[in-house]
Amino acid sequence: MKKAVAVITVLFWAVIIFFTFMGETIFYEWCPQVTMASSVYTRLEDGTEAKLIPKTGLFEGKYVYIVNRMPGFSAEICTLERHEVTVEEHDEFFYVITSDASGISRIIGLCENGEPEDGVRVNVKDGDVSMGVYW
Amino acid sequence: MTYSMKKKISGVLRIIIIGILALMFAYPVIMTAARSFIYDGKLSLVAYWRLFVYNFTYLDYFWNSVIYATLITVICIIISFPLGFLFAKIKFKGRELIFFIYILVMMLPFQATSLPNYIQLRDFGMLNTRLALTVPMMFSPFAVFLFRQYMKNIPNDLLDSTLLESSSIFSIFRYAVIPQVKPAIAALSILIFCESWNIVEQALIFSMDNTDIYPLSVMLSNIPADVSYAGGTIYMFPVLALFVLFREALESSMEEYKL
Repeated sequence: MKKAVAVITVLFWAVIIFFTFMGETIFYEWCPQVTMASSVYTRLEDGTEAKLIPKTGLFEGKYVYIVNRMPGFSAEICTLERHEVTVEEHDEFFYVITSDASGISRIIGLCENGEPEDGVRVNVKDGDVSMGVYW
Repeated sequence: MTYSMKKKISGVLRIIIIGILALMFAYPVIMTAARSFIYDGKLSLVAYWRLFVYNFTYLDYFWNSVIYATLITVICIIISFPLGFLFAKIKFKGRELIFFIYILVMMLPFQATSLPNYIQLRDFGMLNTRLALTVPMMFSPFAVFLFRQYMKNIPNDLLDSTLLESSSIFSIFRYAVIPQVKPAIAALSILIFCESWNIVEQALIFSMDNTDIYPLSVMLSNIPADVSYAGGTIYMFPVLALFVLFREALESSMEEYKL
């Protein structure tokens, strides 16, 4: 039994040391990396205000994702929440949301290192998708 | 009923009762370890993955505990060893009285000495630093007591002959004393390590404004529920492994001195 415990102990410390150095790196690189899109509005021909979303922020032709944030033990826990919308093309870079978007706050503008899915944990990168394009 | 049958029955009963008691003590440990390998109702290591990756600062606190426990153990042994020798072998005026005071202090719970410790640490400017969590525990009356009990049994002739050959107190320690007290050193190391691994009150009181230096024993209650069993298992493992690997030394030293 002592030999088994000695072997397990060595493996234990090897795992601990590995994750001590690599845990944070894996956390930030393992999840999909998302960049938020700033809230941009436009006035339509009929005078109503509509929300614009960057084309990179629309997935499968009808889904947008917002980020839910919760304080975590080591870092903020950010998860995606999917919303279905209907859109029309606005210009080269944007769609305009034609359905009710009142429950949708800031959406993600870009998703890298993985596909967005409802409930999946993500890492929010600094920066903003829309600003550089729009302005 | 014959005597041998009575003896057998009492032996069996003893084993059953001790077995039930052992199971009661072991059950929380076994269940924590077993549940740590179950995630979403399936057998897997996902809980450990989530612990080490999603809660990566867990290992910062783990290493805090390792550093504190190791440092306290090593330095406590180094400090207590010559003190035990002093009380065991060196005759001086007031020796018994000072040793009695050591025993008295050993009996005091942490709650009784926390305020004077706090005031001292504050006056030395050590509050909210790692020194506050390690220095007070480096002075252990129990370690001095145990070393003294062991060293009392070392023959004076051995010490005298070693002193004649080498004329150095360090040589006496190295060649005459340390080989005789190796079981005590092993046993004390385990006991002091276990005690300092589990510090909670010291960390909460002496470093309340600096949570980065907390040991894992304090932060364990803050980890998310889905990885709590994995976190608890990782926390328990070093102490359990230490006990299994050095069990004979601990038992023989406890048995020898009726502790």
